[in-house]
Amino acid sequence: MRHSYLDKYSNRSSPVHNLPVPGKTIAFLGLLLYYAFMPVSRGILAGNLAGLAILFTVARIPPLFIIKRLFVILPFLIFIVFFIPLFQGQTWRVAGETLARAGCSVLTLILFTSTTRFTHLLDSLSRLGIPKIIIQVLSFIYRYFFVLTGQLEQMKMAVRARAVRGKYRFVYRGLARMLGMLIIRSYEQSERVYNAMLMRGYDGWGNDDGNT
Amino acid sequence: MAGGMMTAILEMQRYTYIYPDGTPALRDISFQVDAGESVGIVGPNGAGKTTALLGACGLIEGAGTVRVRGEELGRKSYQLRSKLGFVFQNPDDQLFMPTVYEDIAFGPQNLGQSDAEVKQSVKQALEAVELPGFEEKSSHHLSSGEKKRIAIATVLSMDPEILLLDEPTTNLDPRSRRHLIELLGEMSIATLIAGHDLELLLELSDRVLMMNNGIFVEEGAPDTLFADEELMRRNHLEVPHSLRDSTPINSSQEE
Repeated sequence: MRHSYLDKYSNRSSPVHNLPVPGKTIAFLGLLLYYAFMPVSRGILAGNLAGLAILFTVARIPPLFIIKRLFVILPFLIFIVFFIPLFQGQTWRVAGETLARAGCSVLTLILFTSTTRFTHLLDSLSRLGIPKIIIQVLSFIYRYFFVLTGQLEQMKMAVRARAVRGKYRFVYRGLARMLGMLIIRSYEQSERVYNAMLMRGYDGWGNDDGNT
Repeated sequence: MAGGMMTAILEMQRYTYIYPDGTPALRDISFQVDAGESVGIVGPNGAGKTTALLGACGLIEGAGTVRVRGEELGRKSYQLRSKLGFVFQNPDDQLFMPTVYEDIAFGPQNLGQSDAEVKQSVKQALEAVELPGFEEKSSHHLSSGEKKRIAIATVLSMDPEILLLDEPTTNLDPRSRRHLIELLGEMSIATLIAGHDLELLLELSDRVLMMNNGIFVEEGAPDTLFADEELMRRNHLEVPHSLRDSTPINSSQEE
């Protein structure tokens, strides 16, 4: 039902949205590389964040949306960063730098994905020489993300409909089983999708070239 | 027995399929569909209808032979299989690409068509299902009726000789269902339709195969077969309303 989650803002139009996708993709990858090696100082960090803020404003991406996205990824980041000082020879400073690098990367990722249509992204990736089979897998992930979240929503609703006393107790007990069910369902789905591909002349291109 | 002068588009001969757990799904079944013919397969849940369709497309490995235009269908008959347009029950299985265009183009591309030809095939297929201009839409934004029609377009774009449809009217509202029936009725290629929608089969099929427990129990014209109350009951089916002209239910409604 919340189908627009992934591409909520990517179908809009703005100077950032309208940049040619291959160029945008290369710039994005370049920025990631830059963040990995940039010297971290307050000035540089502030400059980068200001730059990102300007781009976000031009693209008219609401701050709340950015924050929501950040919250999806931040927990993983913080978890990793928290453990860095525990390794031998690592300090809190290294942890802080890692957080800064990762934070900039994530913000750039959010900017990139919310201003680029997924299909255009795939197109530009394949023009950049990414193998067809990888593009195919990425497009499947995009397509079936919606199907699987839909199924999860349905299962959650079915559980809620039957959880008469204390909905959370019931929900958490069933959570593991629900996820297991989802894995089985997606496995079966993948089999049916493969059949559908076979029916349309798919012969596993990418494995043995020369065919078709 | 190599077929040389057969007119059958699709032919299944002495086909048996046993599930991995040992349950027999299809037991020595044979049938054929001729050019331009519309054949229905009816039967209760678990009768083997879907399995028969999967077997006919060579998607499962059973014992027996399947021939398409006289040519034997094997596991690796990628090109031959494209003559069979299989429309899955759930469009989400069939529409696996990000956009409608890419989905419909998938088959023609695999058949080695040039970009211009692919574009033309997609356009024609969309026109055939009466959804022109849907190229750039995402599959997850379509309604059930649209999804079903796009699913049909994905196989029409390969110029198949027969359409195999598994429960085509599942999840469709009456208007979408009517639209689909009209669409299928206008098509000149052969169809093999499995399902419970007896009214649909009454309208579209020239011939119906009744299935139960993995075998064909009866074969005939849909209006004679479906009117046989005893036969229908024995096979967990019901005489459709349009064939019950003088039943007590109807007469009580009139009074």
